[in-house]
Amino acid sequence: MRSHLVRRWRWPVLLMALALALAACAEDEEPTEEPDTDVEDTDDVEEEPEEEEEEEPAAAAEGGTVLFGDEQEPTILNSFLIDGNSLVTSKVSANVWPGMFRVNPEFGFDLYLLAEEPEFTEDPFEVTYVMRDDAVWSDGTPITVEDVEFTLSVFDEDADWAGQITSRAGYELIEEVETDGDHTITMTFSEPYAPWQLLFSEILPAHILEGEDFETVLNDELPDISGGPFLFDSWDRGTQLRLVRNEDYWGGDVALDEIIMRYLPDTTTLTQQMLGGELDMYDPQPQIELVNQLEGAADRIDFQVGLGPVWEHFDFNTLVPGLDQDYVRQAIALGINREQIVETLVTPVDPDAVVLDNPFWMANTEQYVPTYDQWSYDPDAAVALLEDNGCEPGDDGIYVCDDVRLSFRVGTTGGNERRELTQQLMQADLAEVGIEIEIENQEGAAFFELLNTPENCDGVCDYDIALFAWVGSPNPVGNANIYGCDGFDEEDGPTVRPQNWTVFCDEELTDIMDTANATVDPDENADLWNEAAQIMADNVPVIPLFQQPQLLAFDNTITGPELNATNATQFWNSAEWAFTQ
Amino acid sequence: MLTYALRRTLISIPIIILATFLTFGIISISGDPLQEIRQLPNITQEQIDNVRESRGLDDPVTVQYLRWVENIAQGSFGEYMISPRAIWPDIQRVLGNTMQLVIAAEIIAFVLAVFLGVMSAKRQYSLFDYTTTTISFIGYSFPSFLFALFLQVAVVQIFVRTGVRIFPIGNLSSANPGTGLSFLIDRIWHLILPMASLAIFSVASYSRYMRASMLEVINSDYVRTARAKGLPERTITTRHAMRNALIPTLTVAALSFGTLLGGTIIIETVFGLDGMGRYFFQQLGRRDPYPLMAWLTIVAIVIVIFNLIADLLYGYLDPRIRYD
Repeated sequence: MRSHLVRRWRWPVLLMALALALAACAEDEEPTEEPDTDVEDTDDVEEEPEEEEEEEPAAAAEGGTVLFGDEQEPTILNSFLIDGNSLVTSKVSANVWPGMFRVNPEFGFDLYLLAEEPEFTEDPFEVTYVMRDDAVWSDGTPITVEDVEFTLSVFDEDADWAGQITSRAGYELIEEVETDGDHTITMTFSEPYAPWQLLFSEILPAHILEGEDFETVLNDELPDISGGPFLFDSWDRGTQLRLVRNEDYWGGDVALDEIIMRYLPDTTTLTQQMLGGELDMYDPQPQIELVNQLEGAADRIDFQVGLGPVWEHFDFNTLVPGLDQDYVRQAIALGINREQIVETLVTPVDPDAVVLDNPFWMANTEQYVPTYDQWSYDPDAAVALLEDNGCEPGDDGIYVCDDVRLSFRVGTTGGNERRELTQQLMQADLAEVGIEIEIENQEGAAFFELLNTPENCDGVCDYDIALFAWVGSPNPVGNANIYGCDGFDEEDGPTVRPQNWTVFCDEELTDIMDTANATVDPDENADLWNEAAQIMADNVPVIPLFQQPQLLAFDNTITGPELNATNATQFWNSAEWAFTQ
Repeated sequence: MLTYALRRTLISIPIIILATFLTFGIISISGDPLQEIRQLPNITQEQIDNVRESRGLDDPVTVQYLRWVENIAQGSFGEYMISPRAIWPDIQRVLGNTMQLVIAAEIIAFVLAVFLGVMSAKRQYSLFDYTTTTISFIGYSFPSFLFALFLQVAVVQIFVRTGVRIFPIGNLSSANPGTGLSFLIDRIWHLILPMASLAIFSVASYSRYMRASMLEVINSDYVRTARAKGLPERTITTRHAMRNALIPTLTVAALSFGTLLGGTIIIETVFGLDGMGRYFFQQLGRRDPYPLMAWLTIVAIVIVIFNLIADLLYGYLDPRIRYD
């Protein structure tokens, strides 16, 4: 009977084994996935560092496919529309649509389609762009001012898709456009707009998209044209998106044949895929354990860590009794040991991490002034501040100020380990100064539903202190929307801007931010934002903590990748990526 | 039987309608679908209001529900909340992928469980029986996501130490899967670990049911009679005992099909498979009620269909059962 069974199953089993072997071989044929297990060589190099210094960098080879793993997948491929306003969409468009400037890893602006630095006048505010005359689309059509004008028309407030455009900020100020030949264009703004360099970060091909329904044409695929180093090839939703080399890229030779973005929503699995050679590159949120894992595979994987534009902070709901008093918020700022939080939670991942002392400029920008350093950890000063304002400790040691017991809820996105640990450290610190903290978390989306403006909450929104992050940008322009307030009415309270969830209302602050957004001189602009940061620091509607570190890991047979934590994404220099020979 | 199937289907319709109405109501009051765009930098209140108005979010829940039903009646699941993109193509795609995974896992689990259950019952209290029982209880109590992670780590470690990739640990296919047979082989290769993770609980569960019902049947009078008549043991087992013993196991398998669909939420997320589970998880994060409703409706229909199939199979396996 046994031999009969063996006979019956012999062929299916053999076929299966053969199929698996074939599949395994087919996958191993991928040049990008070959393991580098030459541990002996690596050991030798470590023992003889002087030899390593003498080694010449490996030569780049043409060809190859980079498999880039990503936790998120674009919803649509049109980065101009609300649903496409995400970093993961920009990772695709950064390869295809060139911009006037390109944001480099230092938050600076490099010329991209521009032949020279634009000239501008302040009154009226006019910017003259002179574009490169050698830039062409992949079909050979020159990239000209016609494309710029078409891109501007996309932001037309009367367009059918106007309600779907993510933001018209800056574009709505452009009143007049004048062209001079094919490559010079002058734009006149109704008022100065400081972050004008952020405009036209992607230029669209007029000769392809003119007359198309912009609300749908770039949703599921991109046309067969590119002004960047790669062309869109295909998108298998839920699985991968393929970009192929633009053979006619005007910016120089592109080494890689393809970049394939593989979408997998779980960081743990992505990391295992990276360790297991199924991926060549990924940029996950760095955690201590993840960094340790990557360090363990240092013979095959390189990684870079740096400070990103995403900054963590505590936001106060200034309508909540107790938190409506400046001195209470200041005492909390003094009572939290932010240095310890950074050393415990961030430094192990990024040794260069620092406490962030400015809500508008990131610590690694040249405009940064540490306005919040006046609130360095000082529990005695916190207690003294409370007592100077008439607060008295209750029987349980918690202070009571004007009949308000200083007990507050702090909430964040539950399940985020770093944020939960931050809460715990904060809770322990503030217990020492007589302020009680109750941790009350919600899952991701549910937590953010608590944060809103009073008009959308029918009064006071249901949170006291919120721990979350905003994404910074090379210019703090968006903060006028986040901390701005357009007046105060005794009956109705403050009229805050859409994202001012702290409900902090300071007319001087709002004026300075609005003025900064209309000040194009970079130094004056930086000074104004730092002036605004000082008002924020004095009143403490928010306590900045730290910038989240960013990580880019890649197979060490790839040359060229450089961490860019801005919206330009890791693909900002994808034209320079290559496999070593 | 046809009348019975028709009657069961008609009874299912109001159940599905009630389920969708309740679910729609719960989803609508449980979150703000515009929260995601509210967090976008530079978004204005006017834009938020525009989306709210264009999608009729200020309408009463019943009106919104009826609008959704209208879409269903027209043969589609409508569009996503923010971008005007049809939901149905996405549902079609993920449903197909999930069905590949779940049906394959269910078939493997069922066949394996029946084999193990029958063999355990036939060799009650033997080493094989004890071993199967022990492994079954381990499988029963082992969370599937943990088993999935364990498999992933094991495969990666084998690759790191030997350079041999036994199975891929994520995605539905390779970057270049080819077409035809090559695509099929590549797909099977990618589905083996997820199938194993999904099937382990089912194997453990079904094999216990199979063993118990088989023990009951092989000690019954008619089996003893068949044996006394001198029928070969193999015939007794396969044609007389196993057929009757299959009925409760089949019931459990059919009823747990919905659970298996639910189980894919974790497995598909862990393995990055573009299926119903991962789709549900992603849309839940976006708080968009329309794709969530599409998901729930499809799952409800699938569960109803498989329950009906189970009922019809009873009659086939046991002619004593009549459809009244």
